[in-house]
Amino acid sequence: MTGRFRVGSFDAGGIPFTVETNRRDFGARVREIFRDIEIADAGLSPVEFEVLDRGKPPPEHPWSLCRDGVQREIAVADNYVLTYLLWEVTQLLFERTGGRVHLHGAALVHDGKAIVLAGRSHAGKSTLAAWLTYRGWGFLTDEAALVDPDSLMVSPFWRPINVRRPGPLDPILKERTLHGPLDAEVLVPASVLGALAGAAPLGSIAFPRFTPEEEVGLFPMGPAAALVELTQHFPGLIADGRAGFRRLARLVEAVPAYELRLHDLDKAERVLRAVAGNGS
Amino acid sequence: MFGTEAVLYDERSGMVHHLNASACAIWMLLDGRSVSDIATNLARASGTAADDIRRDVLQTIVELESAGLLHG
Repeated sequence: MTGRFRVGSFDAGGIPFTVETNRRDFGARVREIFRDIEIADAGLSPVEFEVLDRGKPPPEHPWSLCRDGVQREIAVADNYVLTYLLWEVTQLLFERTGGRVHLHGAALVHDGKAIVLAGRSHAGKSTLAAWLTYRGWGFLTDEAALVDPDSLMVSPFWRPINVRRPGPLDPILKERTLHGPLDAEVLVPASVLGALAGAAPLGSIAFPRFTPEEEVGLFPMGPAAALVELTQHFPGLIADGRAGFRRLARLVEAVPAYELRLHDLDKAERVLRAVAGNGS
Repeated sequence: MFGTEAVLYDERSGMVHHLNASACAIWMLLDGRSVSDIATNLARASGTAADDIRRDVLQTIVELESAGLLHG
């Protein structure tokens, strides 16, 4: 351990934040994994995260995390601390969305239009997002899609993609050298895979479902069914109440929605290309 | 409302309810009318026997009630 030092300044969807730590190796890992959201200057009042190794020996979890001086967690495991920091950053974004709708999902751009992939954990969103990025789509975000219900613009938040292993991306991850051990889950900066995209208008919404027994395909959903589905991936529904619900409704009224049955990434990409950028 | 369907958001419970076309039609007529009036109204619109629809109306009202969507 060393004295505290600032790792760097970063941006979470327009919210500047800094990270301080007392471990050089952790700091290096943060800069590696957060490379896509690093900025030169956090400005006057960034949110400050302190991630400190308390020096506790095993079996205790050594890491603590504070946000703006307020303790958020006191005992984080060594192999989870980076994931947890990323979770806290994403929560920060969800707290400060303004009038935007924040969805639990990925967002990518093709032919100038964004597609939001919303769904539960293990539905394949992040793997698909990584695959699409690798195949030339523009990466907007993973896990934290931000949509303005008035302009329908989807904002970028280039957080790293949480890729589960083993999986279909393993050959790609091996060819792109990554710092750190290849664990069951790895955080992959999107720029390692492909291009980062700027804000783009929403063209469609897809709800991926891993369906190994069914043919890959895109099945149109009516707006009522899409709205019901979307409410399940909107963390702010309870807090925002009726106003949040109405913002969601504007999205499904504006763009088509689909159920995406997938188990083959190539085929999934082909069917998505047919609708993305077309808005129909 | 989305065409003939509706999605209701119950702020108290945070639950979301999807009403298909028939449930939505019944919901829209729940303005103090009797079950018979609702059934007659829908039967006229659909060309179906009122007695058949009456059962559906009752069932839907029960379901709406158990979902906490009816007040008073």
